[in-house]
Amino acid sequence: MSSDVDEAPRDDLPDLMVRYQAGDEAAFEEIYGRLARSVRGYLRTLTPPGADVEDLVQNTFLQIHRSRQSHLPGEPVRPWAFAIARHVGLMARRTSGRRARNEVQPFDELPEVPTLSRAAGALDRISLGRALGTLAKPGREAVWLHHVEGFSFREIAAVQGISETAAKVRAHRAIVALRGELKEAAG
Amino acid sequence: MTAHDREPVPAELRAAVRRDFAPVAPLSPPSRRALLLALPAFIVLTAAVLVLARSREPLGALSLVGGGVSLFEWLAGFGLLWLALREAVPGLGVGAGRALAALSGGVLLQLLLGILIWQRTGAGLTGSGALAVGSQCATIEGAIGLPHLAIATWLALRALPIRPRWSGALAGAAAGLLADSTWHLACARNDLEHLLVWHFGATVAMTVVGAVAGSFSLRRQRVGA
Repeated sequence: MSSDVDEAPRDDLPDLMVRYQAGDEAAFEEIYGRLARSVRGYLRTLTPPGADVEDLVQNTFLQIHRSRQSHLPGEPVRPWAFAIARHVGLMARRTSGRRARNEVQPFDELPEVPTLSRAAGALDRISLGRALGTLAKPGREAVWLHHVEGFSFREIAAVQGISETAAKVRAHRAIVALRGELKEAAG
Repeated sequence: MTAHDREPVPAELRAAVRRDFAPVAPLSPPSRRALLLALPAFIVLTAAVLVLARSREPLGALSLVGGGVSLFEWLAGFGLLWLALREAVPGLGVGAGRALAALSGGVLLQLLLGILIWQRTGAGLTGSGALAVGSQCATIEGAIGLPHLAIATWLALRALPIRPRWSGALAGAAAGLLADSTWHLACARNDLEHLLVWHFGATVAMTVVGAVAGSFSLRRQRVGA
């Protein structure tokens, strides 16, 4: 792997995608390296406890590979990749026949959560992880994508297939619910 | 993040990916693909208007109203086709709410235009003749619309439709509108019953066919997942 690729900023993903579509395997490895961790965290917010997230990560990147021609040149890569991850996660959930909505994930199933700035210092990571796990799935997704992955609401709307306003409303409601959970936890 | 922080590709995934690492051409933007598919219908309807207007034959439905209706239907069909192809690209989807609004708007437009034609030029015909003419209209609209639908579905499936039912339904409605934009110029029947049952009905039927085709593709994806 060349050093210029190693130091490439996140904005270079569309260029890497062009190289990947042209058959450059190093570009695929670079894209995987940059996105795998985020995709794994996101899939954990989508899938029920006990799901084989590693398998889903691999499935996601297989789907990405099979449909790599569907990324349009110049478009951002992360919403495209996360939309595919969402598709894989929801398909897996439907296939398994389990309903993840409103399920509480045990803390050890949750990934490392960079704490929200307002919650940081007020409550510990365990409380935040549990509280996140109690959120309804669409809200949990929106909170995760916005506060953890740094997606704009426009990007969240693209991933979830909703309007930007709806993405903002989901995230806002989830944050309100999260605050309530955290207050309860703080006792 | 440095290269050391980045995860290596698992061996199993790398092997699967290497089996098919040929260069691929990225898809054209949905607007360009929709235009290419809708353009023949536009050329046909424009040619029909020009030829029949020059021949100075009794125009019937092919009046200024008919030509205007065709243009509106073509625009609505093109718009729905663009949405169908956009909906099929991950991360560019319009969402179920907007897809429903667009679908309803397109189909409603055809309904309203049908009422407009009937009010301006309509003449009734009942009995067995109405059934024969109507079924002929629906058959011809199907013959024009189904190839549009098949190509649109193929174009949509070349991407990765996240909500294939919606992609299919939008493509079906688009095919119905594009078919009607050309055929209704040649159809001599303008009574409301005929327009609603056979022309509007054909569009609704193609919308359903599109949605069902999308469902099948979804099932295939699940099986392959």
